[in-house]
Amino acid sequence: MEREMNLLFNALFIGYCLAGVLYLSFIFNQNEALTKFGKAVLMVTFALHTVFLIFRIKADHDFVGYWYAPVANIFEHVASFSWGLTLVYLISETRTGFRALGIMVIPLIVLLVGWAAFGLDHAVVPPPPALQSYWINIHVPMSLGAYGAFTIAFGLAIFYFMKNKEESKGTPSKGFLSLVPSTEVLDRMMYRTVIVGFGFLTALIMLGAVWAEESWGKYWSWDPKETAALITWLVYAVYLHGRFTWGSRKRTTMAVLCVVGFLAVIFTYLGVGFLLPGLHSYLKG
Amino acid sequence: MISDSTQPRVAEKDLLDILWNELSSVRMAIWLLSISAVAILVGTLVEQNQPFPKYVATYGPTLSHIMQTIGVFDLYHTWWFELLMAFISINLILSNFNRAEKILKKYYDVPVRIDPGYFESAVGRMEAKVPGTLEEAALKLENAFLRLSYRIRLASDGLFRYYYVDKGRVAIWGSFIAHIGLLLLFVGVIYGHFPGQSFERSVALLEGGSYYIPESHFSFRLRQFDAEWDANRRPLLYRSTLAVLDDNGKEFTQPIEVNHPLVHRGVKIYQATYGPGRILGHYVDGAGKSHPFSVEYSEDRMMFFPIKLGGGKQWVGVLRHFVPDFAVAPNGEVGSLSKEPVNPACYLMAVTRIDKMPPDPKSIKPVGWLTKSHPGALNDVKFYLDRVSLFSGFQLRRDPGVPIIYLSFIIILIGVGMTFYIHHKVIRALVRETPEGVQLSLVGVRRDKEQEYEKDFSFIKDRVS
Repeated sequence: MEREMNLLFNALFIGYCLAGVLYLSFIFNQNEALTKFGKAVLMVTFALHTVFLIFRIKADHDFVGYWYAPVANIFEHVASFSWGLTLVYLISETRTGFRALGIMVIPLIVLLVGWAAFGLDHAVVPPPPALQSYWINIHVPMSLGAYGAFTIAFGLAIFYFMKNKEESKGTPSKGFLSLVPSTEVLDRMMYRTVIVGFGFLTALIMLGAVWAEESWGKYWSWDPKETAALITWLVYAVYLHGRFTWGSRKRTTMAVLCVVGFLAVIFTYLGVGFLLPGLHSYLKG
Repeated sequence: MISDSTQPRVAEKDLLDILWNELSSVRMAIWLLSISAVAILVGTLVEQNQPFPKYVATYGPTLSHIMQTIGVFDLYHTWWFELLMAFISINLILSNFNRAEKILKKYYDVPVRIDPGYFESAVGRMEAKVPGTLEEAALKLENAFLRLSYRIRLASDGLFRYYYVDKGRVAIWGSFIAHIGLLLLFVGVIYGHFPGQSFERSVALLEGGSYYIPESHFSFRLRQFDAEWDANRRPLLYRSTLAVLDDNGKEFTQPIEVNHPLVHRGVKIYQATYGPGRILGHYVDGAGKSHPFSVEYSEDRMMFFPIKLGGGKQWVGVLRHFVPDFAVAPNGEVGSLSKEPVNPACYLMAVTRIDKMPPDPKSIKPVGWLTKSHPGALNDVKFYLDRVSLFSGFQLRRDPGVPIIYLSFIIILIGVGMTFYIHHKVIRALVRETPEGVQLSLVGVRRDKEQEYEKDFSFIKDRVS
């Protein structure tokens, strides 16, 4: 069974790669049929990814005797996070019809799945005592929503810069950029995505504090993971306060803050877990 | 004279106003949040509360001294970081004070705009012809608004009827509530740090050991400590069984694990850590008599125990190295497979002549590595390692601020939810008589929600047409 699951995960990597290639082809050829095919491949891969996670949950259960969300080690977290990111992307694309966004997001999913497939240990291992709690099913999945939304906001910010450059020239956009919404719309999409992520991040930090109080005896320990998440929260709080103050007058500043926020997300998600010592270092696996 | 006496007062008032406006402004909030983010980033990158020589080794002497002067090594307890938090609190209090008045006005005192020009110039407006009279059109419109759960405010001006309708206005309170929650969070943290209210300490006990908590008048004894590891030497479980004895004679036993603390009289006892505490073994002398030995584990010092042999002769056992998870490499090198005390081992030496200090090096004889399955021997004395008893580390804490902090979390989450996920939709409408008939104009006030207005506008248009 373990072998089949590994094969399935490797197949996911191929599926995401294919979807990525089809979406990237959008840069050179705005063929509607190709992008539709790309989305179909992405959806099939996502469905297989869901199947993989269900099997993984079952395998974890069979190994330890109780159910828990597949986020108890770095492989499971990356596998789940890439699934969450795909889900957030598919929702965004379906709601907005903005297919070119996949050019930014799907390569990130490919990188994550590739890393999980070939760089991380897939073995089913029991969670360490600190993670043996129902809180793992509540606290950790919040990070999927938060970081997924912020990744989408980052993709939108990159498009914003590209589109802004075009708009400042005063000439109509050419190529795939002509299918990218205006900076005004992108700014609004960024805001809507950030508020989704901000809600998840706020809940993530607070539920984490409640769990920490139960597990470590302290709701806040100034642990690097906690402080990095707080930095991320502060960056997006600055974004939201800025938008409240400036409205849509300083759109470029808002887009810059989305990029800074995404760097903070990467720092929180990977930098802290691997580089800095702390209470969350069990994520090293 | 009059101007001389009034001038400074005006200036004072202006200064106070300026100060109030600055300290309560969103711009100030942005600065404070940004500075906090940078400060916390420094605190995250620079490992906190480490021995100073470690910093010198990392950053060099000059930079280390500068960083120490600024307080970078214990950043979250510096006066300037606490001042930053104080400014954030002031900003929260003042901005909420300002905001409350505006919100109340916005919530109850609805401004119906009597200005036809507004409807002619508004972006994203919807226009529709309505059959029937002005009264009939107004009635249809009001019914449509009510079907969509809008609150209606109306003002008439001759043949013009102006409407201000809104729904989801509870969202107006969202940011106010979220900021009140943040203030309450600060209150909870400060209350939890009041002297006499709270305490926090670490306690390590060996099995059989007990600890009295004077602040809460009870003691607890470690009856048993269990630890389990998986095949990959990762901890699966560590659990302490505690016997709690109250001053009033009440006694009970409860096991605690990580994630499952014991709570008694407002004190939480958490299972925090464990490690080697005492090394227990025995030796069998030449006459075949067994003698137990027990030494307290030390990470950085040699551990001694007396070895009594027959005829008044005595050696001293010296345990030099402790390896938690003993393994021997093919080249004979000894190492530890993990940090976990799964297969502990000690390197034993014996000082065979103790008549002078320091002992003659020739009298120090190696016995070798002792493990549970591998005894050592010197002359006719055999040494056995029986077990390594583990200490259990507890975190004791009483923090009366925690319920306040939890309440603040709920309030913040409600506030954030109300701010961002409940949409305060406001429509301004004008129904008027024109030579072509009755004309309806609708304007959605929140521009960033125009898609939702489109849906509502379409419904209204269907109803009135």
